[in-house]
Amino acid sequence: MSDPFVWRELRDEYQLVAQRCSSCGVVIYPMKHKICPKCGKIQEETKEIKLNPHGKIVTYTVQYVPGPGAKEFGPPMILVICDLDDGGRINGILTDCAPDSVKIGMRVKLELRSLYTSNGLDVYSHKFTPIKE
Amino acid sequence: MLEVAVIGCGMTPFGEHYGKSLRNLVEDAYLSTIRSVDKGIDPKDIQAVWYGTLASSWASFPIPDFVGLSQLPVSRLENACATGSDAFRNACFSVMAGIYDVVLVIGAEKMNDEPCSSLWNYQAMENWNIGRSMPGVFALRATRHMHEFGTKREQLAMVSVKNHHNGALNPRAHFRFETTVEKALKSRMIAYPLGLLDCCPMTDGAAAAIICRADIAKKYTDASVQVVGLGLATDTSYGTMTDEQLVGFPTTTKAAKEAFQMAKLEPKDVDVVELHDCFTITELVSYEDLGFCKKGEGGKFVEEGRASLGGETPVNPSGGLLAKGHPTGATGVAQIVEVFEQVRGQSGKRQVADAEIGLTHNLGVAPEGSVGLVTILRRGT
Amino acid sequence: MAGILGAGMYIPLRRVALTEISKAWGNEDIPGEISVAGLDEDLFTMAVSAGRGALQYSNIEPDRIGIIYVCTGTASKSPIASRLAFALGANSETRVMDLGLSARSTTQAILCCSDVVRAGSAKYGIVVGVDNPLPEPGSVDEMSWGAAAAAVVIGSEGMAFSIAGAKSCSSAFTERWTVPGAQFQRQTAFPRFTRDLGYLHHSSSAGSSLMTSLKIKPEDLSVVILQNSVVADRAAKAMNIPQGKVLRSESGKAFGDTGCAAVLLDLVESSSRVKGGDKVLMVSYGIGGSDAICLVAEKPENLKDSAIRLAKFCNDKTLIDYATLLRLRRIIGPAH
Repeated sequence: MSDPFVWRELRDEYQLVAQRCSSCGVVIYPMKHKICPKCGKIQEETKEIKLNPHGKIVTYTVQYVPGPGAKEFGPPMILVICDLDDGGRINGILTDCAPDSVKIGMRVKLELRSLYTSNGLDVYSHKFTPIKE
Repeated sequence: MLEVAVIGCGMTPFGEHYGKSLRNLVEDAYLSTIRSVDKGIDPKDIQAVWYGTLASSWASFPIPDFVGLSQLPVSRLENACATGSDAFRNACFSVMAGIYDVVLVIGAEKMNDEPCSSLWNYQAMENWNIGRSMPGVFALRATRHMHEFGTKREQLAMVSVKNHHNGALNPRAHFRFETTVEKALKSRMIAYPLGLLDCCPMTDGAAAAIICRADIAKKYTDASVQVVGLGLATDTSYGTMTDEQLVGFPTTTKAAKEAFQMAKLEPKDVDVVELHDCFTITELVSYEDLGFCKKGEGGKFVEEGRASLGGETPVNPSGGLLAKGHPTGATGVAQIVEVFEQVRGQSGKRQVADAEIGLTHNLGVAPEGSVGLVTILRRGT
Repeated sequence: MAGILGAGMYIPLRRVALTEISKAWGNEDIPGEISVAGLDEDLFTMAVSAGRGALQYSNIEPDRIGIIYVCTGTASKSPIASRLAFALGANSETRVMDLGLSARSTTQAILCCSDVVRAGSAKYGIVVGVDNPLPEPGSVDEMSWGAAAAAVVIGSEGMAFSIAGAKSCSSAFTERWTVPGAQFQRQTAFPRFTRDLGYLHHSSSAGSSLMTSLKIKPEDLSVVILQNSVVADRAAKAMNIPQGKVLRSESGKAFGDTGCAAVLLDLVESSSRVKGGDKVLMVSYGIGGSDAICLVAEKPENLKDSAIRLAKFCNDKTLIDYATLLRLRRIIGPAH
């Protein structure tokens, strides 16, 4: 990843700033859109919201063979798609969880973690962690 | 709009061809295609080329050199794993529009040794997709499908068993071994719930087809195959991944609808299917998405033998991507090759009896979205 | 007057039993565990989690923070305080300071922050103490140090603890240092020299000097927090502090010596043992010396939720083995 690529997304990644479509209300994250990817409505203004970091797992897989960028964190890696409590269906990684403990419906929370290193410098965003109620 | 027919098809054997370069593969596919034309064809009849590759070369440059067709219009096309079908589709459009009479389609991929920034090295568009491998992307659908519909890993394994059985009958397949449900379940876990035998291999290969206006096909063959339906659809899973996208590929359904409408046919009319089984789950959900059974019943469909060679809708008689292999740019064209041969009765041990109408389904998927392509071919009269 | 309003913390999930480590070196069983950061965790990620907790438990909006200090004895690739401020959602005008190189920098920061607040330069400040140690395999440090982050919000109203006074004791004593190009820090080869002329001398000097200047007797103290060390007993004795007053913290037992985070974690734990008016003596120690701070409990119950959270961190754990520890610390693993 080029440095400007990382820098452009810093605020959204670090502060979990998402967007809500002014027409259909869908939560769009990451990357702001001028045109809603779901309903196609042109967004005259970007409506920003802070994501509620709590949510639940909708589906998951446990990768035993690393995909691009995953090698440095070693297999296995748990990929998830989660629905956040206040909206947003997010692709992510589930960390700090044993592979055989993952369940659809499990409660999770987004925490800031290192995703990968680029030229030795860590690139951060958020990963899901299990929360015990 | 003019009618289009396929008059020749050819492909290299698919496999790990460390001894062959991209040039060798394209040459072999091209030559076998030229030679497959029943009444022969003068290469000078070819007026344009559509060349599909994911990442094995750059622009249209290889073609004039590799196949000795200099100064022709060559378009290089890429649409993820649906590259081959999209090259075919665009080639067909040029003939349907009356711009060209005879057109060549080539799909090729060298995945194993030449620098290939393909699938496995693909750069995630943004941080949230980092680390996702292709098996992972599909495995996410498998987990959800199992959760919603009770689909079992055994049923996924049956897809692998069926396709490996078919591949064993196909001299051009990457893998020629039979397997069992037990072996598939015990195979090394790649991305839960997909094990090694649930995944297609990294394959080298090339395939080609020659398309011409249906009203001049007789010059080349008395057994041309008509292109009667073409459909393509895309969607985004961008932050809006729908419940349907979690258990299948709505792009497949949309592309199929377009193709069936153009062909004025329905799923029940189809005699043979070559669909995009990059992973067992993909085949299973594609039975549903293409309309051969209801959503959620894909497991039952394969378990009851309905997709087997002797079943009501034989799927992937070639062995599919799982056993025949998946050189990404070539796959879509190779599916055309199989259906072409099937409806002409040329498939030997894998022949589907009385195949008249065949359907190919080619799918490209990434975390960001997917592209689905459906082509329907019919034995010419 | 200024003091601590609220606290947050973050301790990684993974723990290594000390026995696992000592066994690998052919030594006898030893009780206890240390906390270890995962491959996707580091000083920054832990500081962010702790900082978010501190804001949440203090009920302060991030844009009201005027100054942020990040204190760590662990080498960092780049400054942390500025990106921490950004991650927490603080104003871009927030003052930021990275203090480091010594475990006592946390107490230094608390005092500086308190001065800034009292001077009116900031209404609220955050002090984060975080460490992600990289001790040499086979060393005593490997069996003592744990990874953790703790953060406190400092202000002048609604305090859980106020700062009554402080005294420092510093010298040129250098028990540990970094050699350019070397992977691990070096240290003196004389353990009792380090213990007595390093830890004991500076801790007890600072502590005794503070008690004298505030006219406090050891009996007046409710809780004494000493830098987590096997020789806390000796330091207490040197200050005439009864053993029962020294906090043997659960977090110390659960995570090990967490460097810059240690005294803050212990303060959170001590909050449930004190009531309004009680005095807490906190003495840090790191390379170069000690700071002794006397804290008076104002509304210690304001740290109750933080204490519950800390207790959860103590109990939520996944044990790993020694080889995994070395891999997580990137001492062994694939070459880049």
